[in-house]
Amino acid sequence: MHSIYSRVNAVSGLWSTCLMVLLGAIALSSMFLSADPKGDVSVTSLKVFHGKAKRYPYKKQEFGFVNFNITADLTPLFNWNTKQLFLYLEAEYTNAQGVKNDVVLWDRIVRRKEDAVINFSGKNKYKFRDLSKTFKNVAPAHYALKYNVMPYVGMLTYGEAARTAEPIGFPEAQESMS
Amino acid sequence: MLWKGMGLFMNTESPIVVVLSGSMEPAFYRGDLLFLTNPAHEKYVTGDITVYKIPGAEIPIVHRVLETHDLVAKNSSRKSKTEELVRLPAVPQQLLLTKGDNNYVDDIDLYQGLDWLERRHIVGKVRGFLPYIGYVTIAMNDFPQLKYALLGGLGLLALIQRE
Repeated sequence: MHSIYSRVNAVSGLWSTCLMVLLGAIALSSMFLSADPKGDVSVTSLKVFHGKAKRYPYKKQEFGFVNFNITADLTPLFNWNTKQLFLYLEAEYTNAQGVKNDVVLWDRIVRRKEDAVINFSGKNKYKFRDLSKTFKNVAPAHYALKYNVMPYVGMLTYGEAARTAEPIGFPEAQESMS
Repeated sequence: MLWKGMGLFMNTESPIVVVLSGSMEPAFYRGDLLFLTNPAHEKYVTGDITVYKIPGAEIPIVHRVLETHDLVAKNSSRKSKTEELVRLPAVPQQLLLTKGDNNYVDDIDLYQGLDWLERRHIVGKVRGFLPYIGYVTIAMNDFPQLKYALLGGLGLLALIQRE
């Protein structure tokens, strides 16, 4: 009855139960440690150029080029169960067909609290294009800075840190420089 | 039974998946356990982490949504026919583009010829996260000796123990 096997079994059972309870408690605790920091995002310039699609080199399409500034202090989002923040700037617009489109233009992973004060100005990292291949008749777009808090254990949470005050209209497409 | 029940409740074919690749590092490492839901009438938004399975590909992929493009609702004759039978609320039609956080380029080359990911390719949205627990399954696949050692050990124990 009191063999080594049963002792090992009992101890490892207790251990894993304790571990699971602890992880559950940590996951629950982070639900109450919520924060809603706000920042600022502004678009300094928006240009549209003709270009070629990557996959179909013979097809012409328009690409948006966005320059923007981001300032935000996201340190309140770091609590003891925060593994990292995934920050992303997205453009939200309604295209000529009247349906909603969201395109991520830039992202950054923040892994330390010391890096959570964001002060960035630059241009879009990812291609900005529409399904219809043109930005003509596309309604002015909003630009929003959003974040995803990724925990060590538990639920993933999302939030919005900043949004442009006014939607920004798309200019007429220009011929590519190259 | 529990598995299927959970799957029915979450509306996904596998409510729990194990991360198999490092393309979402440093968010998810190999062996991390993910809990999925797939709300049928909710649209996917950028920043969501989806699990998708391209027809023809064996392994589901866990990547983040980079672009969403809604589609104009089609009014084909097929729709009216189904409406006569059952009045199901329409599943939102969207085209998605995804990218792994640890990859430099988007996933278009993983789509096996498709230009966009569609709703029917998606297994679910990652909601919860438990680190490392799933590594056992990966270890068993990577080192088959471990599997045999474990099986052998269990068999031996079953022989030795008399209870």
